[in-house]
Amino acid sequence: MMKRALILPLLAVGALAACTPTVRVKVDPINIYAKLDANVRVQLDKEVQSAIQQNPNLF
Amino acid sequence: MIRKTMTVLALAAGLGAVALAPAAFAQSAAAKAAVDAGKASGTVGEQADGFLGVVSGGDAATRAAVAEINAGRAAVYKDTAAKSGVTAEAAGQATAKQLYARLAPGQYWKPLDGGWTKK
Repeated sequence: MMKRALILPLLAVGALAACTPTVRVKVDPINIYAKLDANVRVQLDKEVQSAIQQNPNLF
Repeated sequence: MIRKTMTVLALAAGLGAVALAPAAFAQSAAAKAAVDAGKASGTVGEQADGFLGVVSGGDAATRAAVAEINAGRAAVYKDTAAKSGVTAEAAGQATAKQLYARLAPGQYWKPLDGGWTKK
């Protein structure tokens, strides 16, 4: 029982250590917009709409 | 001819310095035209993060125009984000959603989790 408690963390550490050389260059972009509160999203959509209209040279 | 061009450029620079708008704005119309042409020809596309991307190829002028418009957009997203209390990234994604609706069929779109697709 005590042995297992010791071995498991050691295994975990070993597994992590095995991964260290891996460098993830590209992180998947997350859709933050979809996670926003509904009220915030409505407000944001309004702001976005006017921003698009006010900047015809960019959109 | 060159002297004339230089004079015009100097005048434009002077005007730009006087104007409150950033210097990039003086070029914006030309950049926008180049980007629109690129979108129509399939060289430039809209991305789900709210920025323009080069689909493939694209000459130096097109790439410069894309970079310029993207810089302007980044500023707008920052501003919009501040107004709504969200991150600039969220503002960009929200804008992309509306830009997708305005994208003409056949033009390119890049979702967050994938490559270029034709609308």
